[in-house]
Amino acid sequence: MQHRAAGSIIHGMTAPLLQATGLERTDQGSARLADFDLRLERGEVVGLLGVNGAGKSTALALLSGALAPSRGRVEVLGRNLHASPSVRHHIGLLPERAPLYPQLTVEENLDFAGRLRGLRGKALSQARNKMVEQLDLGGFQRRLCSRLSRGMAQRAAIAQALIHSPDILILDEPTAGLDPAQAQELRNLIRRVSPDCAVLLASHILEDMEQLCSRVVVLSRGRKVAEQSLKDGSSLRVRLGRPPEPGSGFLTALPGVTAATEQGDGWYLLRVQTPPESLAPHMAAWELQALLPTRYSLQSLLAEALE
Amino acid sequence: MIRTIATREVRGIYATLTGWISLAAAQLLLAWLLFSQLEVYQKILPDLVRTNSPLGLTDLVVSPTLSSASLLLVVLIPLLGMGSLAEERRSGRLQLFLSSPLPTHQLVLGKWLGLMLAMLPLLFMLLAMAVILGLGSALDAGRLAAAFLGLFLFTAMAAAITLLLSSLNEQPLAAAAMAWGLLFLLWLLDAPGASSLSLLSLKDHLAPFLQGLVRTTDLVYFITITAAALGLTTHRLWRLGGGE
Repeated sequence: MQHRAAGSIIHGMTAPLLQATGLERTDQGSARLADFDLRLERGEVVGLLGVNGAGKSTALALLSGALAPSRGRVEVLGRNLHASPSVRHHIGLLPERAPLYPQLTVEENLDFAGRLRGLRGKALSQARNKMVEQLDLGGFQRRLCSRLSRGMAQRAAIAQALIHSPDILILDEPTAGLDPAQAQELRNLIRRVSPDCAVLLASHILEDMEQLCSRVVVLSRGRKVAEQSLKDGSSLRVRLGRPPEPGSGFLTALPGVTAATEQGDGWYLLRVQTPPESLAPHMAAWELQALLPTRYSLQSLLAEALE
Repeated sequence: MIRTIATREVRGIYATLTGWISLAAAQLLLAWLLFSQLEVYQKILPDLVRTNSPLGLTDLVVSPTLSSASLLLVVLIPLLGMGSLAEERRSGRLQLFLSSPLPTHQLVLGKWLGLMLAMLPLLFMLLAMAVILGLGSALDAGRLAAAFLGLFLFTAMAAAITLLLSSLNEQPLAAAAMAWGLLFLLWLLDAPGASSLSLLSLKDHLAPFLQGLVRTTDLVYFITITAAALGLTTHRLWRLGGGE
């Protein structure tokens, strides 16, 4: 797949790259994931956050087509992922463990992954060379994968996931087990490829999320418990001269405010969904002294979501 | 894609020391068996000539060696094929296959053909030994062809069974142990007291081929079990992908 799907047009509207609706996966009577919705657009990096066993890997397996849902559906460019296997050409997957054959070289692994995704002949060699260049694998392409460092193996595995130029890149714990320098290198790499596709990554490493994601979805016990934009301005620090009574709920009753946390000395952290300037008039009565748009802290989001 | 998977499978088997050592050990053992049979044959040859016995080199040397080879294949095929799908599951690579547009049956056929191809060197060496033997004496070519057809069908069946059990386990050794168990059970079904199950006896269906007989019932036996094992493996992978 060397072309980029621009998004399919359905009834005059552009379908999202990926749309999951009411996804559920039940095994032996217990739900591994329930009532899960997600929408992905090109250029977005969306994080799935949660503790171990929260359902992140199940969600990724369902969204990549590796696992069929018990209920609900996943649409890729408007087509059902599980009913039309050819739609899987649009997806690139990096499972938790780098899926490389240790007895093959990097180049051979890339060729194998390319063939698996339908590339042949000249298109395959061009795609492989592009990946080697883009992911800086030049000095390693003829090295056996069993002899690669963890960071290099992860880079080769991402090249494998990207070889067919997927529209959706799904990464499960991409920086797990890497040293800080390797992890940073990998984040830079994801940042480099993300404008061309939608990236969905699961991790419990907050640093990954904060540095890469424009939006995070928090999972707990197989359910989505929060979804939050991480773009600047998605939260506000405000200082009030005459704050409302603690626990009165006045702040969360303001339009567009979804959560408020008191930080002491008149400061409050508000989670907002509206532009900050539209809130100022509403807080005049409490003697608004400062209003600072800030990036929402994932630590706060996790604490709120998992309460 | 079946060819790509099969080729990678062969490379995977022979990229390990286990693959080469197993093949070399099997080859040495078979050569030793052949020479032992030949030695016995040379000792009794004067008696055979004196009594005008119809038994020849094919009956007394080649057939017993091929019979021993089939037992060796029971050991060798699970050993080389145990990781076929179990290792893919354990390493997480199976997820890559299941999330690709590749139909499950193509993955199974590729893996099966790969395991078959990996066993071909042993069958070719056996054939080469028989042909070399035939240069200095008269061998029954038709009987030899039937015997090799039997061994080939038997290899196909054992490979399919190994693949099925490899799909049921994440631990390659557990898969091998189960495959050995099942293949030896089928082998032993002709034992006294197992008469009602002897229809399934592997030995009873292989022996006619080694005697030069190609019977429809034996062909149906091997083809049916092979197809059933491959079908069940495909179903198993489909279930692993969440099929209800």
